[in-house]
Amino acid sequence: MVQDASTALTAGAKQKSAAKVAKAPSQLPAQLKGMAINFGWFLLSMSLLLLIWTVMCATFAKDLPTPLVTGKALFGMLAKPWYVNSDGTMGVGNLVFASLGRVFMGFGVASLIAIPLGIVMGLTPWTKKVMDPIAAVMRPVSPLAWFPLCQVIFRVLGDGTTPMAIISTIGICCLWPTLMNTAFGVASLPEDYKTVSKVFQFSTGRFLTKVLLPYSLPHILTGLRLSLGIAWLVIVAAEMLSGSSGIGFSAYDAYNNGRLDEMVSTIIVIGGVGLILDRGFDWLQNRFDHTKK
Amino acid sequence: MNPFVQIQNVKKTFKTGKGEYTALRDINLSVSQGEFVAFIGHSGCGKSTLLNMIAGLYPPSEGKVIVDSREIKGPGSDRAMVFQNYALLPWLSVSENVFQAVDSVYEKNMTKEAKRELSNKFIEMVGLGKHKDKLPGQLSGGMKQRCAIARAFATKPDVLLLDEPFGALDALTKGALHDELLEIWNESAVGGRKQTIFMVTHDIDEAIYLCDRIVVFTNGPAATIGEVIEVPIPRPRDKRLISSLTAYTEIKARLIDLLTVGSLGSQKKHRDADSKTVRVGFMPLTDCAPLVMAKELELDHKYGFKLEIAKDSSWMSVRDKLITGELDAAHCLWSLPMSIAAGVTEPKGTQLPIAMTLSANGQGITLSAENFPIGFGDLKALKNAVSLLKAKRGEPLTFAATYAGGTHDVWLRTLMNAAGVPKDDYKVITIPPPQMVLNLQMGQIDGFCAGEPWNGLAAERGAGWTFMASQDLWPDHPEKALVVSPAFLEERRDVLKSLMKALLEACLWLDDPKNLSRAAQKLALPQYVGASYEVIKGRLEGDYNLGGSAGTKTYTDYKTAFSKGGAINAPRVHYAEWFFAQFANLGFELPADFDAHKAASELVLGELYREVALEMIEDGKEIALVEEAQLLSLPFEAMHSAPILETVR
Repeated sequence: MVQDASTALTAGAKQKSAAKVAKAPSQLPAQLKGMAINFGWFLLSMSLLLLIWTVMCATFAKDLPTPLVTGKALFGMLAKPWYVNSDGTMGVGNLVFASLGRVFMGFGVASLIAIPLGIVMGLTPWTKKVMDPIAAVMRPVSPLAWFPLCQVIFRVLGDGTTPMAIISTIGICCLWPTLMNTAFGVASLPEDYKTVSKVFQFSTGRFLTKVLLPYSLPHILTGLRLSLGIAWLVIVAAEMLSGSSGIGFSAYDAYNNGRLDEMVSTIIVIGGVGLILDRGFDWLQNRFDHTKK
Repeated sequence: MNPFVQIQNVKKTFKTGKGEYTALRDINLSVSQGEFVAFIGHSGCGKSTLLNMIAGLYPPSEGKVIVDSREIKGPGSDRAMVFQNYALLPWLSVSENVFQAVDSVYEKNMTKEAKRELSNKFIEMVGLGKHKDKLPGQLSGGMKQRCAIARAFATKPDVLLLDEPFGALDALTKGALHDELLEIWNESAVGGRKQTIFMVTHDIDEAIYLCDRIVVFTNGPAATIGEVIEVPIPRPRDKRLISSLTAYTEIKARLIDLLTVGSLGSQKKHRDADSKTVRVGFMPLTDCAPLVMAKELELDHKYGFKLEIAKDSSWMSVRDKLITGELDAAHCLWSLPMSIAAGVTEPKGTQLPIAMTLSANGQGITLSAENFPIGFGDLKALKNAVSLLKAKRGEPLTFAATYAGGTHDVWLRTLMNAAGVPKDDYKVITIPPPQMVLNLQMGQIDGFCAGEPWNGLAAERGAGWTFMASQDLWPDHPEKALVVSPAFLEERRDVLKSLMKALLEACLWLDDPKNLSRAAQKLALPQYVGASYEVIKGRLEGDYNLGGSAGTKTYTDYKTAFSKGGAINAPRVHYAEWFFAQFANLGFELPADFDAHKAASELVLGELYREVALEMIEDGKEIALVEEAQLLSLPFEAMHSAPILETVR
C-alpha cells in the first residue's frame, strides 16, 4: 500500500513537470504580463507622489524645488559620482560608501554583541529578566541624544575621533531589534525540538548548529533587517550633527548653502540606498529562511 | 522472566503555583526484554509522564527506573523516542533528520560512511527511499511518522518509547503503519535481541493488536496502575482474523469496561448481589497454585460460579483493591490482615477477614552469595557476618520483605532475633517480589525474604543462595490465606462458600505428588507466574538447589503444602493471635489498648470454614477437621516466638 502511494506520487510529479516543460514557451508572455502589471503599479504610485510634490510647490511650498529642477540636480549628481576634490567634497558615490562604511561598522559591532547576547537571553530566562528593563530604558532614546554622549565618552577614552562617536551611536541604536528578535526566536524554540535533542543525545555544538540556529535564523534575520534600517537612519542624523563627511552631512551642507535642489536629490539618494539595503535583506531571508520555502 | 526494565515504587509530583500536584504514585512494573507494552488510560492519568521518566527526561520524585540493571539518570542512547507530532527538524531533509540522530549517538564509534549507510538502510526499510531528500514540509503525516520511526530505530536503542505515535493519523495510514512497525521491530533485532517497546495509546484495538501486555492506568491525579492485562495471542497476528478470536473479544471487553465506564472502582457494577462472578487477585508466586488450578481444572463450573483471576504486582495494590471491593477475594499473605488491624500499615484498623488458609511453608530467606559465605542455617555465623559487614560499611545492612508486617517481614525479623542480630545492624525495606532478585544482583539489598520462585531464581542466577526455608523456622506455618473483601462476605456469602469449596478441592488435588508437575506446567505460563518450569517444579517437590556453595537439600515432610488432607486449610484464631504477639515481640507499635484475642476472632472466619468443610465431607470428600480448642492457647502476654525458637535450637 505504501509502495503504491509513493509511486503514484512520483508518477504524478513526473506528469506535472512534463506539462511544465511543454508549456514553457507559451508561459513567457504571461510572465512578462505579470511584470508589466507590477511596473504599472509602481509607475502609478510614483506619478501620484510627483503630482503631490508639484502641487505643493505650486501652492504653499514656494521655496521647494520642483520635480523638474530636482531631477536635473539629481542627474548631475549621478553623472559624476566618483570625484574627490581637494576641499573634501566628494561625488555622491564616494559619499554613500563613506556613510555605508560607518553604518556597517556600527551595525557589525552591534550584531556581534546582540546575537550572542540574544541567544543567551533566549536560553536563560533570568538574563532576559535582567536585560528587559535595561532595553526598555535605552531603546526609546533618540540617536540625537546618544550622539553627544558618545562624543564625550570617546573624547575621554581616546583621541575623540568623531567617527568612533558616530559608529558607537549607530551601534547603540541598532542593537535592540536584533537583540529582541534573537531572544524571542531562541526562546520560542518548540519544546519538541529540545526533547529530540535530549533523547538523541545531541552535543551542545550539534544542538546549536542543527537545531537552535536554523530555527532562530528567520527571527535573527528579521532583527538584523530592522537594525540595518535603523542604522541607516541614524547615520544621516549623526552626520548632520557631527559635521563630518558622508551623505547625511552633504544633505545638511546643501541646505546650508541654499542648494535645495541638491538637498532633495540627496534625500532621494538616501532613500534609494535604504531601499536597496532592505531589498538585499529580503533576498537573504528568502535564501536562508526555511519557512519561506 | 528476565526483567529488563523495572519501574520500582515510582512516584511523581510536580510543583505548581497551587502547591504540589501528584501525577503518579506507587508505580511498580517489570518488563522483560523484547516485550511490547502499552500504556492506556484517560487523559491526565500520567501515562506520558511515566514514558518520559523511562526516557530519562525527568527523574521520578520517589523510586527509580532501572534499565538493563542500571538505574537511569537521564536520557541515553539506549532509549529512543517517537513523538505524536513527529518532531522532525523542518529544515533538514529526511535523510539528514535520520543521519543527525545516528551521527549524534554513534559519534566517533563509526565512520561517516557507515553512519550514512545505516541511516539509508532504515530509510529504505520504512519505504521512504525515494523521498529521502525531501523536507518534512513536503511529506504527508504518515510519511513523517515513518521518518520518525526510522530515526528512532536507526540509533539501535534497547528500548523504544512511542508517545501516541499514530494518534494524528487517519485510520488507513494507521493500519499500514502498525504492520510496518511490527516488521521493522522484527527486522532490526540485534543478535536475536528485539527491542523492548513502550507505547502510550488511546486506541484499544491498536494496543491489543501490537502488544504483549497492556497496562491500564487509573484516573489522575495521583494515578497508579490499575490493571495489567496479558495478550496471549500468538504472533504473527493477522489483522483480519484477530477480531474473531475469543481472547481478543474478552480483552477488548475488559478494556472498554475499565476505560469507558470511568474509574476502575466501577467494577462492582458487574458483580452485584446476584452475580455469580468472583474476581480473585493473586501475585505471581508458586503458592498461588490453588487459585490457578481451580481455574484450570474448571472447578468454578463444578461449584456453580465464574472465577476471574487477576494478576497483581504488589501486596499494597491487592490490599487496596480488596478494600474498595474491586477484588472480591485474594491470594494473600496470612498476616496482612493482622498488619492492618494492628495499625502496622495503612489503612489502620480496617478489617479484611480470612476465610481459609491456602498454603503452608515454601518461603525462603535468600542472602547475597558474596557477602555471606556461611553454612546453611548457621545462625551464629549469620550474626557475625552481619556485624562484620556493618562495621565495614559503617551503616546497617538492607534486607527486603514484601509487605510491612506481612509473613515475610515476620519470618525475616524473627530469624534475625533468633540469631541474636542487633536491631541496629539491619533495616527492612518493602519491595514487590518480582523486583527482589534484580535488586540483590545490583547490590541494592543484602538479602530478602519472599516466596517461590524468587528464591529458586536467585539461586539459579547466582545472585544469592537460600540460607533457610521458612519451614525450617516453623514447620507447617500458615503462609497464604484467602482474604476476602467485607462487601463480598456480606452480600454474597453463598458464592464465597462455592469459591472456598473450589479452592479446597484444588488444594486437595495439589496434595497428590503426581499432580505437581502438571501444576508446575501451568504456573510456568506467562499469565500466571511465568518462571521456568524446572525451578518451579523443583521447589514445589521439595528439591531445593540452594545456590551459592550450599549444595542441595530435600524437604520431605515439610515443603510447600496446600492441604495435607485439610489440616492446613482451617483458619485458626490462634495463628492470628500469634502474629499479633509476634508484632509486639519484634518491636512494632501496637495501639495502647489493643485486644488481640478480639481482633483475631473477628478476622478469622472459623465458623464459615467449618460450614464449608462439613458440606464437602457430606459430599464424600475426606477433610480433617482440627478443633480450635485442641491447639495451644496462650494468653497474649505469655506468647513468645514459641514454635520457632524450639525448632531452631
